[in-house]
Order: sequence, then structure tokens, then C-alpha cells
Amino acid sequence: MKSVYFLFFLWLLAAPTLIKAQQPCWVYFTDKKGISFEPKKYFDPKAIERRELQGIPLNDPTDWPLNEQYVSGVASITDSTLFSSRWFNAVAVYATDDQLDRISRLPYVSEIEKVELLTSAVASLNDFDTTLSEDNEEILKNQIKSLQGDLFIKAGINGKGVRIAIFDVGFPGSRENPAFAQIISEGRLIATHDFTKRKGDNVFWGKSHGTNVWSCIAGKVGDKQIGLATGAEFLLAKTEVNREPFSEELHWLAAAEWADKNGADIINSSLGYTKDRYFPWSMDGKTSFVARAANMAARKGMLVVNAAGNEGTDSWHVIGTPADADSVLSIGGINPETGIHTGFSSYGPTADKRMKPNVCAYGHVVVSGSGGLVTSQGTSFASPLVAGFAACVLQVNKGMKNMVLFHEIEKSGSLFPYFDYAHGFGVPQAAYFVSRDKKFIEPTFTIVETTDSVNIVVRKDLIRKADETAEDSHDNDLIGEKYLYYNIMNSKGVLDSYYVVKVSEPNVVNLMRSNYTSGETLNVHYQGYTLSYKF
Amino acid sequence: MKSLLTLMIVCLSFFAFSQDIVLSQDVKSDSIRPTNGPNLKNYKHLYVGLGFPVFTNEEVNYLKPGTSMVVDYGIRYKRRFNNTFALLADLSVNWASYKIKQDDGKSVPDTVVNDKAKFQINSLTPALFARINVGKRGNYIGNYLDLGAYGNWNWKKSYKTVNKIDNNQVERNAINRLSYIEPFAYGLMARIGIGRYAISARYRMSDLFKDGIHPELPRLTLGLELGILK
Repeated sequence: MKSVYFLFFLWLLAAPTLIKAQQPCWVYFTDKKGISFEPKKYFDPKAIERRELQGIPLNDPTDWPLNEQYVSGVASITDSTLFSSRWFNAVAVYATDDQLDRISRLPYVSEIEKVELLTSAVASLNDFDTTLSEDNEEILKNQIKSLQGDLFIKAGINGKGVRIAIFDVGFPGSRENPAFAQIISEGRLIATHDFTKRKGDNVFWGKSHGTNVWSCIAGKVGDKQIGLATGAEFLLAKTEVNREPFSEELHWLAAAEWADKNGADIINSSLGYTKDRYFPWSMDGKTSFVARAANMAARKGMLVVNAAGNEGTDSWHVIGTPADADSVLSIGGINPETGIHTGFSSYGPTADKRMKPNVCAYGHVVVSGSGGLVTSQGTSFASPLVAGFAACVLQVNKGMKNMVLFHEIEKSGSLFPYFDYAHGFGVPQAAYFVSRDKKFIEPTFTIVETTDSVNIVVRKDLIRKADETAEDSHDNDLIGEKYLYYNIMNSKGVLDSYYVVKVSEPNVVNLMRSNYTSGETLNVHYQGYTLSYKF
Repeated sequence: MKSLLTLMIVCLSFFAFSQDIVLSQDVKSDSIRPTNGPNLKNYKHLYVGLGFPVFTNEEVNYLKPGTSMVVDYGIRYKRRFNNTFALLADLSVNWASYKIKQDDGKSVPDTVVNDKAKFQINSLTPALFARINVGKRGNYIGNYLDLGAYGNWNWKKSYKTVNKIDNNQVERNAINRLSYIEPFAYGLMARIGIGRYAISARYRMSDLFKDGIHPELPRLTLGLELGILK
């Protein structure tokens, strides 16, 4: 009997290794030999227009279809193929180790990359309420006003003619939602696709996060405007499930290729992948598959707008991916009460010390839910506010290349040229695009040197009263202009530290020279004026 | 002049501290890569376990099934080598109790029939494991298989009896330092886990009773383990 139990124990040890599980993998091919491609048949006319405007070739090998013989060769070994990528010349499959071994010996297979377990980080939603309190009315008004969106609205700019793809977890109830009634009645919902089921176009199920996000781009109920791009066209892609053990990064790539084919100008992706799969030091824009896919989408001429993430207060702390990709416009969140960074918004920089987020917008917003207007929070909603803003800019700058648009939005930031890793260049401002007049900003502070210290002294007339009331508040308070920002930049152009300081007396900051080394730079921003000082 | 300069520095220091900072981030210190964590170089955590001995027919003859159990409480150190392999060192305290049937045929450890009787063996258990993790992941324990070996120092070896006597009083007796139980034991262990939860198996290779004086106590223990992770 003793030996029977010992054998049972041995079986228990060995059991896991005996299970031959299929695992998801990318199989990359060596070439696309023998392929014919007719771009005018493949691409939507809108996609052709975008490429022609941006000077992106229509007949690029990365857009050619895969060699069908290669795909069927792989499929004959593993009967479970998921998705093929033209951009990466690869097919995603489920395969056992034995099958992978056989696939790797095919002469046209260049590489096999295992895809591991992952989950998505989607911002949480609050309970909905059909009425808006006075405070929430104020938030709704200010989520547009903080971007100076009123200037776009007054000028009749609403993203008309711009096509926006939204990747999300689902858009339930959006067809019946009055916030999108005009879009749907005018036929501006161009296409939908559910990438999570790999069949059908029904994206109107799942969690309502996508519906909320869409409303922050283009929602309007009566005279209540939620987002800026109310005249834009839309592609809706369901790429996320609430929590899935595999495949959302694949869905993201599949959706990006679909968006490209269907003529998207802008992608809004209010999602990110973080601790379930990666380490903070993997956030370098190169490690994750989805970051590489997002950069490829940008190379195809689409502006990719992505939420920075909601991990500011937890141990992860930094942005997720694909917000780490260099060609992705990453959006941080600000608090409507203060106009500065809201605690949960993830911080930059990237692991390789690039500035992220690029810009920021309200992270506490009013959205359209299935039953009415509700409040919600997360950088998931800051991102679509900026995507709607970008659509307005693109409407009046037809043909502007996506990366030019990217940098112009950065330059329109309320803090520009100042930046830090909580706000990027600040909140994009419509005046930069609408009026285009570069107004001279008088110095709002001076940097005073002494033998031992460097002091920042602000103008007395700009100091706000301690007992100020709501009536004393300024429009610029919406974007945190009542605070003074300063950072310490090292000789490599990377910030070592940064601060936001309340201004209640002229002598705001005193820095002891002994704490800083030669080559470091102090950058200061206060009420639109930026000045640098080299130690 | 010197005192004036000192006063100025003191004043400036005061001003420096009087800044009303509403946000500050030290990027340099944020950039220091930690080495302690569930999927980092070093990690340690506490754990608790509950095991149930699996009886053979022979053992069922004199032990009460379902009432015997082993409770563990320990600390684990994990040294990660890569995403797949790690070594673990456990040190735990175990409380094992084996309840003995009280019937006419009772012969272990003696023929005296009591209301209740059990062997109580408390041990200090060092163990070493190799861990195989499955799947790429972030700073998480993940899914794993542990294979290892353990040793026991049985620091308390008791035979405890409970009998009701007159006036509803209960008499409890304990014979400690049982000489017929080995002070040391060893065996193999395995664990299959997902995050903080694990199913464990422990197989004792050595005999507990000296010179086969009694039928052996169960060698195989199956149980559940809960990692107390941050």
C-alpha cells in the first residue's frame, strides 16, 4: 500500500507536465512572395484620401495580404488560427509545443513569438444618475471649456469629415442613446466590428465603458455637449472583454488594421496593459506587442490617442502600454477642482525616460450612460476629450500629417514649453488653432540669484487673495494656472524632480544652490510664462 | 558679517520649507528598480496551510478518518532566477494531530480505551523547493509547480487522552516525549498554485514509529495553502 501512495504522490508531481496545452503564438513569415495587391479595392476611399494627403504610399508591402499558402501551411499543422496581421506579416495561432516545433521547421517561418496571459485595465464606472447636480453641471461645462472648446463650437468646428475609430470593451445602448442620435441618423456610424468574437459586427453589448468614452468624443444631448467632435464619423471596435486570459493585444492590432482599411484618421484607445503582464520598467514603448502595433498604426497616418492609465496611486504608478509608445498621444487626467493632476492619473516618464503623458484633460467627467448623463472618472475619459479636440483641429487643417498634428496638440498645451511627467505640456487649448495669434506674455515672475540660493519671486499683483470666493475664480483656474510649476532637469534633458506650488506670497520658492549641480536646469511656469535658469 | 550671512541662510531655509507644495515627484527615486517583490529577485511572505492525512486501510483500522489534520504556519523566502525558475526555502511550524479510534480492538499505542485519544506531534519544518512558473507575467506570483523536500524536527511528541469522570468532570492526560516516536522525519513535497492559493501534497519517506512498534501514521497528506501576500 505504501508504494501505491508513493506512486500517487509521484503522479501528482508529474501531472502538470503531462498536460499538453495549446498556447497562443504569433507565427511570423519570411516574406510576401507572389502576392498581388490592389489598394483601391482594399482600402476605403477615406483611407486612400488620408494616405494621399499625408504622402503615405498606397502600395506598401506592410499592407499586402499574407501569402495564402504560408497561412494554410501553418493551419494544416494547427487547426486553430485566430487572426492574421498584414502589418507584421504574421498569423496568430493556438498550438502545442509539438505543433510549434513542426511550424518552426517550415521554410517560410522566420520567428515564433509566444503570447502570454494578459488582462486589460479599464477605468471603473460609477453608478449612474439621470439628473445632474449643480456641481456636475459645472463639470460638464468645464470639461469642454478647459480645452477652450467653446472657441471651436462658436466657429462651427465639430470634427466634420474626420473619421475616428474607438477601441473599447463595448458600446451597449448607444444606438438608442440620444447622445448619438444625430450621428446615427446622419449615417456617420460607418462600421462596427467585434474582434473579441471574431464574427459579427455587433459591438452593442458588454460593459458600457465604450458608450461613455464615445460620448466624451461626440456626445450631445439637447444643448448639453459632452465632447467636441459631434460632426465626426465613427468606427466602433470591440477589442476588450472585462477580464480575459488572452488575446486583447491581438484584438488591438486587428482593430488597428481594420481602422486603417476603413479610413480612420484618429484612433481613441481608452485602455492599457499594466501589471498583469509587465513590469514598470517594460514601459519603454518597445517591449509590449501593443505598443509596437500602435506605433505601426501611427506610421500608417492615424493619430493614436491613448489614456495614460489610472495607476497613479498604486504601486505601479506609471503609464501603461500602449501609452508608452513614442508615436502615441498619451493623455493624463486632471482634477476639475484644482485644475492640476488628479491622483489616480498615471505618471511618466517612460522607462527610457521619454516624456509621458503628452498632454492632459479632465479625468472627472460627465458622460452619457445608458440611462442618462452620469459622472465618471478615469483617464479613459480624458483621452476621448482630446481625441474629439484633435478631430476639430484636423477638420480645419485637412492634410495635416498625423505626427504634425501630434506635436501641434502638444504645443497648444497650457504649460507649453514647460512640461512635467504628471501633466505633459498641460491641457490643449483651442485658441492656439483658432486665433493663431501669438500674444506676448508679460513676465509673471522673476528668478533672483543670491550667493547661496536661487529664488522664484512672482509679481505681487498676480497673487490671489487667501479669502477669494467662487466669483473671484478665473477661467484659467480650470487648467491649474493659479499654481506655480517648476522642475529640475538634468543635463540629458530628463526631469529629476518636479513640483506644483500654491502661490500665496511673492517669494514662492527658494532653492539652495548647494543642492544642485552644474548643468542642471530649473524650469519655471506661472500663468502662461515660462523661464529657465541654468545652475 | 558672518552672522548676517548665517541669518540669511536660516531665513532662506525657512522660506524653502514654507513652500506650499501641492504636487511633488522625485523621478530619480522613482526610477530605482526594486528587487523585492512576488516576481522580483527576492521575496518573502508568510503562509498558512491545512492538511488532511490520507489513510490506507491499515491506518483506518485504528485512526478516525476526517478528524485528523495538520496545520502549518510558516515563512517562505523565494529567490527568482528568471521568469520560469525560482528556489524557495520554507520554515514552518506544524501541528499534527491523529485521532485514534477507541474500540475494543484498540492496540495503538496501548489497549486502554478512553473517551478520546490522539497523537499530537508538533514539528519545526525546514523545506527546500524548486519552483517552475508558467507564463509571462508582471510582479505577480502567477501559476506554479513547486517540487521539494522537507525535514521535520518533532519537538513535541504526545499521546493525549480525554475521559469523563464523575460529576461531569473531564480528565485530560498527556504523555509527552514519547520515546517510540522518531525525533526527525523527512519526505517530499509538491505544490500546485495560482497566486496566493495552492494545493499541496506531502509524502513522508521516513518512519515515525521506532522499530515498527506500531502501524505507521499516514504518510501522505493533502492540503490547501494560503499565501499571505501583500
